[in-house]
Amino acid sequence: MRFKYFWNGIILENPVLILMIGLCPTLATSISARDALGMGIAASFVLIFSNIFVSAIRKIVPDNIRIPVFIIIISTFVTIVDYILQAYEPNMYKVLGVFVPLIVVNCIILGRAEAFAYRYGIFDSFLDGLGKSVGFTLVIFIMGTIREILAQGTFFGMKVMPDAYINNSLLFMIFPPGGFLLIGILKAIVNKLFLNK
Amino acid sequence: MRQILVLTSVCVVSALLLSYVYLFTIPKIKEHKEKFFTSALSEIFPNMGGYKEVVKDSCYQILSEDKTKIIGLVFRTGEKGYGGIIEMFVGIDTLEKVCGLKIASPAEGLKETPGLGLKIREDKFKNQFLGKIKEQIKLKKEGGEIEAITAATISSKAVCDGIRKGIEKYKKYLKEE
Repeated sequence: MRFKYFWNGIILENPVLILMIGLCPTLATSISARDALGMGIAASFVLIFSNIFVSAIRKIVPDNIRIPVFIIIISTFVTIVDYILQAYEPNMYKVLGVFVPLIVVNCIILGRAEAFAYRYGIFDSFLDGLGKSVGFTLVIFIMGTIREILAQGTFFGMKVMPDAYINNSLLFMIFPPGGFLLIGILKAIVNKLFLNK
Repeated sequence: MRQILVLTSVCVVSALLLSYVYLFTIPKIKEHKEKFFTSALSEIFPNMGGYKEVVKDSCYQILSEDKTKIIGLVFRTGEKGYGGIIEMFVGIDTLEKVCGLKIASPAEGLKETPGLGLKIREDKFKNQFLGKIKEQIKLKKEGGEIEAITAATISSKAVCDGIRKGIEKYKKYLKEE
């Protein structure tokens, strides 16, 4: 029964495609499969841990200072991710660049802290964080894959399309318009399949 | 009162955690930076005997194999291109001629457009700079000798400008101090 908190995050309450939050990092870092996956994992780490910690101290935090406390917890984990990426994945750190520190203001994370972790137990919050993370990572990874294949003809840097395609590829997919177009298409598909609209 | 206590203790715990993470990641971060430089230097001057940092993180004197004289200079420079800063390492010899050019890859943060601006990394473009002095490093339409990449004038110009400004700024380090 409790596992519904996990499954909800993937489809029915998918943060990007249903709740429509966290769109900025989704559009900005989904230009290639590798970057998208890196961003997904970094944000997931922060989301899961911030959910656990917010939930753990929810009973001792007075209502009127909860937002500053959330922000401190979230920014602590973001800074940890920032250092770890710099130390162990310096190339990915350079690509993700400013978007790593910007995880602090990712609406998914503060949104889940406020709407879920502050009200529910540690295990439920963990499941919720995990589900939303998988949902977010999945969408951003799918978008990164499609955009990389259409714009550059590669997948994780390996050629998957014939040279003739690469020379005349849909270059605009790597730019913001391509991202918006793709997220609109994905949203339409999800609406049709799961929301019966 | 309780608010102050809670907020303070959350901050203290967070600071402790961060200082611990900082302590064990900083040696790794420094190591990566170092490696990044030395690989760029030895690519441009394969026969170098050693190097001396003259401007922190940006300019290096390259020493001959017996480490007695300076055979050139490598400087790091960045110039605003079409998508962001184009970061490059430029090597010049004692006559102030360009003898090597390395442009950061997209994985290292280059944000030029694939298929257009990204062509500045191809040898066909880069080799044009070899053996040229400052005055020649301009696009052809500006009176220089560098052929711009079709439909990527901004990126091509940025590379020229970056190299020219860099030579101007750092050539004084070619001389022994």
